[in-house]
Amino acid sequence: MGLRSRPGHGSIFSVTVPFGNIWHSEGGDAEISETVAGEFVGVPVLLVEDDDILRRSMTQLLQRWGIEVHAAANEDEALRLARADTQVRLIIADYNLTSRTGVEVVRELRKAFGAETPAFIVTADAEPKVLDGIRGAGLPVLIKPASPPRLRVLMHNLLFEPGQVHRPE
Amino acid sequence: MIDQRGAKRVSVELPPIPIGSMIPLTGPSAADGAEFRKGMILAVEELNAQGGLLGRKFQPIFADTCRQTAEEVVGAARKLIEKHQVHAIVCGYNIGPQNSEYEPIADAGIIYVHANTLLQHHDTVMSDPERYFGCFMADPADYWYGPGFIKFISWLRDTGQWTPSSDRLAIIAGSKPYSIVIAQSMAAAAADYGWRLCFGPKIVQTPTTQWREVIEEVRATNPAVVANTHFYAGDLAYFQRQFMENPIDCLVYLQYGAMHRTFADIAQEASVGIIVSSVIGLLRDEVGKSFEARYNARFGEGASATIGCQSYSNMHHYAVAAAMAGGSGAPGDFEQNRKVARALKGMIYRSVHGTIRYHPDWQAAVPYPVVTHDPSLGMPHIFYQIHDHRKPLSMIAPEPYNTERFILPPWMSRRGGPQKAAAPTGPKMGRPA
Repeated sequence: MGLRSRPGHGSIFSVTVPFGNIWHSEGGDAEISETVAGEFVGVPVLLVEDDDILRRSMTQLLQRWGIEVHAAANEDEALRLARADTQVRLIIADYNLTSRTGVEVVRELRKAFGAETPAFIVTADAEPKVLDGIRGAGLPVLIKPASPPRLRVLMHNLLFEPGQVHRPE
Repeated sequence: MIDQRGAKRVSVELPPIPIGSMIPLTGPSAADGAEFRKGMILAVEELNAQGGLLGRKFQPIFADTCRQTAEEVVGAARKLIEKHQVHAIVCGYNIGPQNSEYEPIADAGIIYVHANTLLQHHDTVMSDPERYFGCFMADPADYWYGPGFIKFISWLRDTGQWTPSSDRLAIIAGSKPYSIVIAQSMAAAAADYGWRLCFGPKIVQTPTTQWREVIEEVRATNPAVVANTHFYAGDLAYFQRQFMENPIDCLVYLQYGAMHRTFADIAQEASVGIIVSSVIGLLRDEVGKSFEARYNARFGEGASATIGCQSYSNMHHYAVAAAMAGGSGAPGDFEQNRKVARALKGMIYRSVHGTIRYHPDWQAAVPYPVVTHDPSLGMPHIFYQIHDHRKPLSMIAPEPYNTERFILPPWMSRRGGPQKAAAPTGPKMGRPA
C-alpha cells in the first residue's frame, strides 16, 4: 500500500497486488455456447412459416445457434417486418404458404428490402415439378424435415461463401 | 497349430475388424490427409502386432473426402458403412460437412472418433445424446481457441514478456465456419482480459493469397495484436509475406496452418516471429518423442508426426475402449457399440498429444488450461512461435509442456520488458524503411 500527499495538491492512495496466474483465471470462458461465438451469432434472419409448431421449433433451433430470428406466420406479417425497416441478412420461407408460394413471397420481400437478400425455400412437397420450379426461380431448397447439418451448410454458404451454393442448372 | 499336448489343432483366423477412416487424400488438405492415413496405419500395425482386439486384427479402410464438403464426407461415411460394414470410423479431421456425416453414422449405431475441432459437435450431440451416443470429438472445439488465445496474449503482457503498445486487437477471419467461430470467440473473450477490439472480426473470402487490402485496413486501426483465423498454410504464408512488406508494430497470430512446413517453406524469413497455436499437437515429452521416432522410422524423416498423431491416438484410444467393452460392434449392433462408447467416456487416456478426457455431456475432449487447470485432465492448447524458419516450431506455452520462451518478433520495436528480438536468419527479404 502506498500514500503520497502534498499540501494543497491532494493525496494518492495506492494498493499493489501481484498478478495471479492468468491461465487459472475464470473469465466466464468455461461455458461453451453457439449463442456466444457461433458462426451465426447476431445474424438477423426472417423466417416465413405458417405452421405454428414448425415456426416455433425452427425459431428455437435458430436461436440456439445465436441467430436473431424475425418470425412471420404469413406474407403480410413478413412484409410488415420488411417495411418496418427490419434488417435481415437471410430469408427462409416455407413453400406452401396460405395465399402464395414461398418463391413469390421471397420475390416480394426482396422488392421491399430493395436488395437481393439471400434466401432459400423449405418444403414438405418433394414433387420434382415443385422442386424444379423453386430451383428454376434461382432459390436453393431443403426438403422438410430439414436436418440441422444441411440447414447449417446451406445457411453458411449463403451468408459467407455464396460461391459454394449449388446453383440451378 | 500344435497344442501343448502335441495334438494337431486347426487354427481358424478370425476375420479382421474393418475400421473406416474418412480422410482428405486429395484436395486442399491432402497433406494432412496423407499424415492421417499414416497415423492410422501405424496405430493398426502396432495394435495388430500385440494381437489386435481380443485376437482379431484390425483392417483400416480409407475413403477419400476430397474437399471435405458435406456431400463428399457423407458419401464416404455411407460407403464405409454400407459397403465395408465398418465397426467404427476413426479419423483426423474433416472440416466442411458440419456434422452431416453424423446422420448415417447414428443410423448405423457405430462409433465415430474424429478431430474436427468444431463447436457444432456440442450442439448436435447435446440435442439428442441417445441418437449420437457413438460420436466423439477427440479434440477441443474451435471455440476454445478464442479464450485460449486471449489468455495467452494476456499472459505475455502480465508476465512482462511483452509490453503491448495498446489494448487494441484486430481480428481477420477466413470464411469457413471454423475460422468464423474462432474469430467470434476471440472477440467475445477479449474484454474480460483487458483487450479492446479495434478491427473485425472481418470475414475475408477464402481461400485467397491476396491480403494487402485487409492489411492496410488493419494498419489504419493501429493494433497491438493482429490475429488471422484462416487456416490454409499457403494462404497464411502469403499473408505473412505481404504483412512483412511494410510491417505493423504488433504481434501476429496465425491460425493452425502456420504450423505446417509448407507455411515456412513459402514465407521463409518472413515467418520468423509469428505465433501459431493448436488445441491438438504432439508433445515434446518422452511419450511424444518416442512416437515421433517410431513414426519417422516407419514413414521417413519427411513425415509429420505432429499431424499423424491425431488419427494414431484416436485409433489407439478406440481399440483400448473396445477391448474394455469386450469387443467392437458392426453396423446395427447398438448394444455393443454403446458399451464401447461408455468405455471411451469413462477413460482418462493419455495420448501422445496430451490427455483425452471426454466431457460427459459434450463427448468432446476437455481443453487445458482454459477449462481444466489440471494438465493431467485436459488436452493442452499449445502455442508455438517460429524462431528459425528452418527448424521446428518453438513450443512457448502452456506450462508444463513448453520447451522454449517467447521472443520479440524481429519487425517489432523494443518496448520495455525483458523481450529479446529474434535474430533474423537465412536470406534477407524486403524490409520496411
